Amino acid sequence: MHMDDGSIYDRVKTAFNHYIEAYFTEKAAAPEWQQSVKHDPNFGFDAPRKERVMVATQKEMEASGIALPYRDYCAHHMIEYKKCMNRNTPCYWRCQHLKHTWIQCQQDDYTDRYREYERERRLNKRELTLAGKDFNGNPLPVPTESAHAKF
Amino acid sequence: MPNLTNRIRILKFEGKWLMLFVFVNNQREFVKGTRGKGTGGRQQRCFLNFITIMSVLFLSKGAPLIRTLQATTVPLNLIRHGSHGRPGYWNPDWRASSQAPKTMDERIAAAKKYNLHPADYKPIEGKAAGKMDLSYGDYPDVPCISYDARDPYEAWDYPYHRRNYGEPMHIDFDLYTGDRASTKRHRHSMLYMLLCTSTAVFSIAALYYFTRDVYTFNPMMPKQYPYNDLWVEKGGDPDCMPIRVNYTFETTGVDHRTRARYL
Repeated sequence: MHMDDGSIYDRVKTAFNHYIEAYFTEKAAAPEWQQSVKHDPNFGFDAPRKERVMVATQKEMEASGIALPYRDYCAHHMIEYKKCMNRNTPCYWRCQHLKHTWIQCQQDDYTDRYREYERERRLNKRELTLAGKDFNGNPLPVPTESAHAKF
Repeated sequence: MPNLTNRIRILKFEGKWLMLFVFVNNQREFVKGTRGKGTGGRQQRCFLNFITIMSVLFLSKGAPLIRTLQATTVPLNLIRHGSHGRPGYWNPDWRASSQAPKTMDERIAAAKKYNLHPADYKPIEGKAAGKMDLSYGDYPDVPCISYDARDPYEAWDYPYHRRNYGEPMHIDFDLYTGDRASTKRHRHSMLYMLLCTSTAVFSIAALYYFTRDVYTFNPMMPKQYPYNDLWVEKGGDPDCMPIRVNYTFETTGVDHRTRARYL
Protein backbone atom coordinates (compact mmCIF):
# COMPACT_ATOMS: atom_id res chain seq x y z
CA MET A 1 0.00 0.00 0.00
CA HIS A 2 1.16 3.47 -0.72
CA MET A 3 1.26 6.11 1.96
CA ASP A 4 -0.68 9.15 0.87
CA ASP A 5 -2.81 9.51 3.94
CA GLY A 6 -3.78 12.97 4.97
CA SER A 7 -2.62 14.88 1.94
CA ILE A 8 -5.00 17.27 0.28
CA TYR A 9 -4.33 15.58 -3.06
CA ASP A 10 -5.92 12.35 -1.93
CA ARG A 11 -9.16 13.73 -3.25
CA VAL A 12 -8.00 14.32 -6.80
CA LYS A 13 -10.96 14.16 -9.09
CA THR A 14 -10.43 11.81 -11.99
CA ALA A 15 -12.19 10.58 -15.04
CA PHE A 16 -14.26 7.45 -15.11
CA ASN A 17 -12.64 5.80 -18.11
CA HIS A 18 -9.90 3.96 -16.26
CA TYR A 19 -12.55 1.93 -14.41
CA ILE A 20 -14.03 0.79 -17.71
CA GLU A 21 -10.58 -0.08 -18.97
CA ALA A 22 -9.42 -1.86 -15.85
CA TYR A 23 -12.58 -3.87 -15.30
CA PHE A 24 -14.08 -4.38 -18.77
CA THR A 25 -12.24 -3.47 -21.96
CA GLU A 26 -8.52 -3.77 -21.13
CA LYS A 27 -8.38 -6.06 -18.16
CA ALA A 28 -5.02 -7.62 -18.95
CA ALA A 29 -3.37 -4.32 -19.81
CA ALA A 30 -4.35 -2.50 -16.62
CA PRO A 31 -1.32 -1.85 -14.38
CA GLU A 32 -1.29 -3.11 -10.84
CA TRP A 33 -1.76 0.23 -9.17
CA GLN A 34 -1.11 -1.12 -5.70
CA GLN A 35 2.26 -2.59 -6.66
CA SER A 36 5.49 -0.91 -7.69
CA VAL A 37 6.64 -0.35 -11.25
CA LYS A 38 7.00 -3.65 -13.12
CA HIS A 39 8.87 -2.71 -16.29
CA ASP A 40 12.44 -1.58 -16.79
CA PRO A 41 12.39 2.15 -15.97
CA ASN A 42 14.78 3.02 -18.80
CA PHE A 43 13.02 1.00 -21.51
CA GLY A 44 12.07 3.14 -24.48
CA PHE A 45 14.25 6.10 -23.56
CA ASP A 46 17.15 7.22 -25.74
CA ALA A 47 19.23 8.22 -22.77
CA PRO A 48 19.00 6.91 -19.19
CA ARG A 49 16.58 8.75 -16.96
CA LYS A 50 17.71 11.00 -14.17
CA GLU A 51 17.42 9.67 -10.66
CA ARG A 52 15.25 11.61 -8.28
CA VAL A 53 17.26 13.77 -5.93
CA MET A 54 16.47 13.83 -2.25
CA VAL A 55 17.57 17.07 -0.60
CA ALA A 56 16.68 16.67 3.07
CA THR A 57 18.67 14.15 5.05
CA GLN A 58 17.16 11.55 7.33
CA LYS A 59 18.45 13.37 10.41
CA GLU A 60 16.92 16.66 9.30
CA MET A 61 13.55 15.08 8.72
CA GLU A 62 13.63 13.36 12.06
CA ALA A 63 14.76 16.53 13.86
CA SER A 64 11.98 18.61 12.33
CA GLY A 65 9.40 16.06 13.35
CA ILE A 66 7.86 15.32 9.96
CA ALA A 67 5.36 12.51 9.86
CA LEU A 68 6.25 9.44 7.81
CA PRO A 69 3.84 10.08 4.91
CA TYR A 70 5.47 13.45 4.32
CA ARG A 71 9.09 12.24 4.29
CA ASP A 72 9.03 12.26 0.52
CA TYR A 73 10.99 14.12 -2.15
CA CYS A 74 9.30 17.41 -1.13
CA ALA A 75 10.36 17.18 2.50
CA HIS A 76 12.92 20.00 2.25
CA HIS A 77 10.17 22.42 1.18
CA MET A 78 8.11 21.34 4.12
CA ILE A 79 11.03 21.80 6.51
CA GLU A 80 11.50 25.35 5.28
CA TYR A 81 7.85 26.05 5.61
CA LYS A 82 7.78 24.73 9.15
CA LYS A 83 10.84 26.80 10.07
CA CYS A 84 9.18 29.89 8.68
CA MET A 85 6.02 29.22 10.60
CA ASN A 86 8.03 28.69 13.78
CA ARG A 87 9.58 32.10 13.39
CA ASN A 88 6.51 34.00 12.21
CA THR A 89 3.50 32.50 13.96
CA PRO A 90 0.85 33.88 14.00
CA CYS A 91 1.72 35.90 10.88
CA TYR A 92 1.16 32.92 8.61
CA TRP A 93 0.94 35.01 5.43
CA ARG A 94 4.70 35.54 5.50
CA CYS A 95 5.16 31.85 4.66
CA GLN A 96 2.67 31.54 1.86
CA HIS A 97 5.31 31.32 -0.86
CA LEU A 98 7.06 28.48 0.91
CA LYS A 99 3.77 26.72 1.36
CA HIS A 100 2.89 27.13 -2.30
CA THR A 101 6.30 25.84 -3.29
CA TRP A 102 5.69 22.73 -1.24
CA ILE A 103 2.24 22.21 -2.69
CA GLN A 104 3.56 22.65 -6.23
CA CYS A 105 6.23 20.03 -5.52
CA GLN A 106 3.55 17.64 -4.27
CA GLN A 107 1.46 18.22 -7.37
CA ASP A 108 4.40 17.50 -9.63
CA ASP A 109 4.94 14.29 -7.71
CA TYR A 110 1.34 13.31 -8.33
CA THR A 111 1.65 14.14 -12.00
CA ASP A 112 4.65 11.84 -12.27
CA ARG A 113 2.67 9.06 -10.66
CA TYR A 114 -0.07 9.45 -13.25
CA ARG A 115 2.56 9.38 -15.98
CA GLU A 116 4.10 6.23 -14.55
CA TYR A 117 0.68 4.57 -14.61
CA GLU A 118 0.13 5.56 -18.22
CA ARG A 119 3.61 4.31 -19.16
CA GLU A 120 2.94 0.96 -17.50
CA ARG A 121 -0.39 0.68 -19.27
CA ARG A 122 1.10 1.34 -22.69
CA LEU A 123 3.97 -1.09 -22.12
CA ASN A 124 1.48 -3.75 -21.05
CA LYS A 125 -0.51 -3.19 -24.21
CA ARG A 126 2.65 -3.41 -26.29
CA GLU A 127 3.58 -6.73 -24.68
CA LEU A 128 0.14 -8.13 -25.31
CA THR A 129 0.16 -7.06 -28.93
CA LEU A 130 3.56 -8.64 -29.49
CA ALA A 131 2.28 -11.85 -27.91
CA GLY A 132 -0.66 -11.84 -30.33
CA LYS A 133 -3.24 -11.25 -27.67
CA ASP A 134 -6.24 -9.11 -27.08
CA PHE A 135 -6.05 -6.39 -24.38
CA ASN A 136 -8.22 -8.67 -22.28
CA GLY A 137 -5.63 -11.44 -22.60
CA ASN A 138 -7.53 -13.51 -25.16
CA PRO A 139 -5.65 -14.71 -28.26
CA LEU A 140 -6.41 -12.72 -31.38
CA PRO A 141 -8.10 -14.59 -34.28
CA VAL A 142 -5.65 -15.92 -36.83
CA PRO A 143 -6.31 -14.36 -40.27
CA THR A 144 -7.52 -16.98 -42.72
CA GLU A 145 -7.25 -17.02 -46.49
CA SER A 146 -10.89 -16.18 -46.96
CA ALA A 147 -10.34 -13.05 -44.89
CA HIS A 148 -7.47 -12.12 -47.20
CA ALA A 149 -9.57 -12.85 -50.24
CA LYS A 150 -11.88 -9.96 -49.44
CA PHE A 151 -9.10 -7.51 -50.06
CA MET B 1 -37.59 30.91 58.86
CA PRO B 2 -40.90 29.24 59.54
CA ASN B 3 -41.37 28.24 63.10
CA LEU B 4 -41.96 24.53 62.80
CA THR B 5 -42.03 21.95 65.53
CA ASN B 6 -41.65 18.31 64.66
CA ARG B 7 -43.82 15.80 66.42
CA ILE B 8 -43.41 12.13 65.72
CA ARG B 9 -46.48 9.94 65.69
CA ILE B 10 -46.40 6.17 65.43
CA LEU B 11 -49.61 4.56 64.32
CA LYS B 12 -50.89 1.41 62.70
CA PHE B 13 -52.45 1.51 59.23
CA GLU B 14 -53.53 -1.49 57.14
CA GLY B 15 -51.68 -3.79 59.47
CA LYS B 16 -48.38 -1.92 59.14
CA TRP B 17 -46.66 0.36 61.58
CA LEU B 18 -45.98 3.82 60.23
CA MET B 19 -43.77 6.53 61.61
CA LEU B 20 -45.37 9.84 60.86
CA PHE B 21 -43.51 13.12 61.04
CA VAL B 22 -46.03 15.83 61.66
CA PHE B 23 -44.87 19.38 61.19
CA VAL B 24 -46.88 21.75 63.28
CA ASN B 25 -46.74 25.35 62.29
CA ASN B 26 -46.87 27.87 65.06
CA GLN B 27 -46.99 30.91 62.86
CA ARG B 28 -50.05 33.03 62.77
CA GLU B 29 -49.95 33.65 59.03
CA PHE B 30 -50.71 30.05 58.26
CA VAL B 31 -54.17 30.35 59.71
CA LYS B 32 -56.63 30.08 56.89
CA GLY B 33 -58.50 33.31 57.46
CA THR B 34 -55.42 35.49 57.42
CA ARG B 35 -53.77 34.15 54.26
CA GLY B 36 -55.01 36.83 51.93
CA LYS B 37 -54.48 39.70 54.32
CA GLY B 38 -51.35 41.39 55.53
CA THR B 39 -48.26 42.42 53.62
CA GLY B 40 -46.63 40.69 50.69
CA GLY B 41 -43.91 39.40 52.89
CA ARG B 42 -46.40 37.77 55.13
CA GLN B 43 -48.18 36.21 52.23
CA GLN B 44 -44.93 34.94 50.88
CA ARG B 45 -43.90 33.48 54.17
CA CYS B 46 -47.26 31.94 54.53
CA PHE B 47 -47.04 30.39 51.08
CA LEU B 48 -43.58 29.09 51.83
CA ASN B 49 -44.90 27.36 54.91
CA PHE B 50 -47.61 25.73 52.91
CA ILE B 51 -45.10 24.55 50.31
CA THR B 52 -42.83 23.25 53.00
CA ILE B 53 -45.52 21.05 54.41
CA MET B 54 -46.72 19.82 51.02
CA SER B 55 -43.19 19.04 49.90
CA VAL B 56 -42.63 17.02 53.03
CA LEU B 57 -45.74 15.08 52.18
CA PHE B 58 -44.80 14.38 48.54
CA LEU B 59 -41.04 14.11 48.69
CA SER B 60 -41.11 11.55 51.46
CA LYS B 61 -42.30 8.99 48.88
CA GLY B 62 -44.82 8.19 51.49
CA ALA B 63 -47.85 6.96 49.66
CA PRO B 64 -49.05 5.31 52.87
CA LEU B 65 -48.46 8.58 54.66
CA ILE B 66 -50.61 10.56 52.25
CA ARG B 67 -53.15 7.82 52.32
CA THR B 68 -53.30 8.09 56.09
CA LEU B 69 -53.92 11.79 55.96
CA GLN B 70 -56.57 11.36 53.29
CA ALA B 71 -58.27 8.55 55.12
CA THR B 72 -58.91 10.76 58.05
CA THR B 73 -60.82 13.20 55.87
CA VAL B 74 -62.86 10.87 53.62
CA PRO B 75 -65.95 9.25 55.08
CA LEU B 76 -65.98 5.47 55.06
CA ASN B 77 -69.19 5.06 53.07
CA LEU B 78 -67.69 7.06 50.21
CA ILE B 79 -64.65 4.82 50.19
CA ARG B 80 -66.60 1.62 49.88
CA HIS B 81 -69.44 2.56 47.53
CA GLY B 82 -68.83 5.98 46.09
CA SER B 83 -71.22 8.85 45.87
CA HIS B 84 -71.86 8.25 42.16
CA GLY B 85 -73.08 4.72 42.66
CA ARG B 86 -70.09 2.98 41.08
CA PRO B 87 -67.70 0.80 42.98
CA GLY B 88 -64.36 2.24 43.68
CA TYR B 89 -63.66 5.67 44.91
CA TRP B 90 -59.89 5.62 45.03
CA ASN B 91 -57.02 3.52 43.78
CA PRO B 92 -56.84 0.68 46.34
CA ASP B 93 -60.40 -0.23 45.47
CA TRP B 94 -59.55 -0.40 41.76
CA ARG B 95 -56.62 -2.68 42.36
CA ALA B 96 -57.07 -6.26 41.19
CA SER B 97 -57.18 -8.79 43.95
CA SER B 98 -54.31 -11.23 44.09
CA GLN B 99 -56.34 -14.39 43.50
CA ALA B 100 -58.64 -15.32 40.64
CA PRO B 101 -62.24 -15.94 41.72
CA LYS B 102 -63.17 -19.56 42.34
CA THR B 103 -66.77 -19.68 43.43
CA MET B 104 -69.67 -18.32 41.41
CA ASP B 105 -70.33 -15.58 43.93
CA GLU B 106 -66.78 -14.40 43.68
CA ARG B 107 -67.05 -14.36 39.91
CA ILE B 108 -70.19 -12.29 40.00
CA ALA B 109 -68.61 -9.87 42.46
CA ALA B 110 -65.52 -9.54 40.30
CA ALA B 111 -67.62 -8.96 37.18
CA LYS B 112 -69.49 -6.24 38.95
CA LYS B 113 -66.25 -4.72 40.10
CA TYR B 114 -65.00 -4.46 36.52
CA ASN B 115 -68.31 -3.27 35.10
CA LEU B 116 -68.85 -6.48 33.13
CA HIS B 117 -71.72 -8.89 32.66
CA PRO B 118 -70.96 -12.11 34.56
CA ALA B 119 -71.24 -14.12 31.34
CA ASP B 120 -68.54 -11.94 29.74
CA TYR B 121 -66.24 -12.07 32.69
CA LYS B 122 -63.23 -14.36 32.41
CA PRO B 123 -59.99 -14.02 34.40
CA ILE B 124 -56.68 -13.92 32.57
CA GLU B 125 -55.45 -17.50 32.39
CA GLY B 126 -53.59 -19.87 30.13
CA LYS B 127 -52.53 -18.39 26.80
CA ALA B 128 -53.60 -14.87 27.65
CA ALA B 129 -51.30 -14.88 30.65
CA GLY B 130 -48.34 -15.64 28.40
CA LYS B 131 -45.50 -18.11 28.59
CA MET B 132 -44.30 -16.82 31.92
CA ASP B 133 -47.45 -18.06 33.56
CA LEU B 134 -48.10 -14.77 35.25
CA SER B 135 -50.99 -14.32 37.52
CA TYR B 136 -53.09 -11.24 37.05
CA GLY B 137 -55.46 -12.04 39.87
CA ASP B 138 -59.08 -11.38 39.04
CA TYR B 139 -58.41 -8.89 36.26
CA PRO B 140 -60.70 -9.71 33.30
CA ASP B 141 -59.53 -11.03 29.96
CA VAL B 142 -61.13 -8.48 27.64
CA PRO B 143 -60.56 -8.70 23.87
CA CYS B 144 -57.62 -6.67 22.65
CA ILE B 145 -58.82 -4.14 20.09
CA SER B 146 -56.29 -1.44 19.42
CA TYR B 147 -56.89 2.19 18.57
CA ASP B 148 -56.48 1.56 14.84
CA ALA B 149 -58.93 -1.33 14.84
CA ARG B 150 -61.72 0.76 16.35
CA ASP B 151 -64.25 2.69 14.32
CA PRO B 152 -63.01 6.24 13.78
CA TYR B 153 -66.52 7.58 13.05
CA GLU B 154 -68.12 6.43 16.27
CA ALA B 155 -68.87 9.08 18.88
CA TRP B 156 -66.43 7.94 21.52
CA ASP B 157 -66.47 9.43 24.96
CA TYR B 158 -62.69 9.70 24.78
CA PRO B 159 -61.81 10.16 21.11
CA TYR B 160 -58.12 10.36 21.88
CA HIS B 161 -58.17 6.73 23.02
CA ARG B 162 -61.36 5.71 21.15
CA ARG B 163 -62.80 4.54 24.39
CA ASN B 164 -66.06 4.90 26.23
CA TYR B 165 -66.68 5.79 29.83
CA GLY B 166 -66.61 2.82 32.17
CA GLU B 167 -65.42 0.44 29.44
CA PRO B 168 -63.19 -2.32 30.81
CA MET B 169 -59.65 -1.95 29.57
CA HIS B 170 -57.28 -4.57 28.27
CA ILE B 171 -54.42 -5.42 30.60
CA ASP B 172 -51.92 -4.14 28.00
CA PHE B 173 -53.97 -1.15 26.96
CA ASP B 174 -50.94 1.13 26.99
CA LEU B 175 -49.29 -0.95 24.24
CA TYR B 176 -52.16 -0.45 21.83
CA THR B 177 -52.72 3.30 21.87
CA GLY B 178 -52.86 5.24 18.62
CA ASP B 179 -49.13 5.85 18.35
CA ARG B 180 -48.10 2.27 19.16
CA ALA B 181 -48.91 -1.27 18.18
CA SER B 182 -51.96 -2.18 16.15
CA THR B 183 -54.10 -5.28 16.01
CA LYS B 184 -55.50 -4.45 12.62
CA ARG B 185 -55.13 -7.17 10.02
CA HIS B 186 -52.40 -6.53 7.46
CA ARG B 187 -52.83 -5.65 3.82
CA HIS B 188 -50.45 -8.44 2.73
CA SER B 189 -49.64 -11.80 4.21
CA MET B 190 -46.68 -12.22 6.49
CA LEU B 191 -44.88 -14.40 3.92
CA TYR B 192 -45.25 -11.74 1.24
CA MET B 193 -43.88 -9.04 3.53
CA LEU B 194 -41.00 -11.28 4.56
CA LEU B 195 -40.17 -11.97 0.91
CA CYS B 196 -40.19 -8.27 0.05
CA THR B 197 -37.88 -7.41 2.91
CA SER B 198 -35.51 -10.29 2.24
CA THR B 199 -35.38 -9.44 -1.47
CA ALA B 200 -34.18 -5.94 -0.71
CA VAL B 201 -31.72 -7.06 1.97
CA PHE B 202 -30.23 -9.92 0.00
CA SER B 203 -29.96 -7.85 -3.17
CA ILE B 204 -27.81 -5.33 -1.36
CA ALA B 205 -25.83 -8.13 0.30
CA ALA B 206 -25.24 -9.80 -3.08
CA LEU B 207 -24.12 -6.52 -4.60
CA TYR B 208 -21.72 -6.07 -1.73
CA TYR B 209 -20.39 -9.61 -2.09
CA PHE B 210 -19.89 -9.75 -5.84
CA THR B 211 -18.12 -6.39 -6.02
CA ARG B 212 -15.66 -7.27 -3.29
CA ASP B 213 -12.74 -7.19 -5.76
CA VAL B 214 -13.74 -3.94 -7.42
CA TYR B 215 -11.88 -0.95 -6.06
CA THR B 216 -12.15 2.76 -6.56
CA PHE B 217 -8.76 4.16 -7.39
CA ASN B 218 -7.00 6.93 -9.20
CA PRO B 219 -5.00 5.85 -12.25
CA MET B 220 -1.58 6.36 -10.68
CA MET B 221 1.22 4.27 -9.28
CA PRO B 222 2.05 4.25 -5.56
CA LYS B 223 4.00 7.12 -4.11
CA GLN B 224 7.78 6.98 -4.31
CA TYR B 225 9.77 7.52 -1.15
CA PRO B 226 13.48 8.24 -0.72
CA TYR B 227 16.06 6.32 1.28
CA ASN B 228 14.99 2.94 -0.07
CA ASP B 229 11.35 3.53 0.59
CA LEU B 230 12.06 4.72 4.14
CA TRP B 231 13.40 1.33 5.12
CA VAL B 232 14.97 2.45 8.40
CA GLU B 233 12.16 4.81 9.33
CA LYS B 234 9.63 2.04 8.94
CA GLY B 235 11.61 -0.16 11.30
CA GLY B 236 13.60 -2.28 8.83
CA ASP B 237 16.97 -3.78 9.53
CA PRO B 238 19.70 -1.54 8.00
CA ASP B 239 21.92 -4.55 7.26
CA CYS B 240 19.47 -6.14 4.82
CA MET B 241 18.31 -2.91 3.23
CA PRO B 242 17.23 -3.29 -0.43
CA ILE B 243 18.35 -0.74 -2.99
CA ARG B 244 15.46 1.09 -4.61
CA VAL B 245 16.02 3.89 -7.07
CA ASN B 246 13.33 6.24 -8.30
CA TYR B 247 13.51 8.09 -11.59
CA THR B 248 12.20 11.32 -12.99
CA PHE B 249 10.94 11.63 -16.56
CA GLU B 250 13.94 13.73 -17.58
CA THR B 251 16.84 12.03 -19.33
CA THR B 252 20.53 12.55 -18.69
CA GLY B 253 21.36 13.22 -22.33
CA VAL B 254 19.56 14.94 -25.16
CA ASP B 255 16.16 13.41 -25.68
CA HIS B 256 14.98 12.24 -29.05
CA ARG B 257 12.80 15.27 -29.77
CA THR B 258 15.64 17.70 -29.23
CA ARG B 259 17.98 15.45 -31.15
CA ALA B 260 15.58 15.29 -34.11
CA ARG B 261 15.38 19.05 -34.15
CA TYR B 262 19.17 19.35 -34.54
CA LEU B 263 19.59 16.52 -37.02
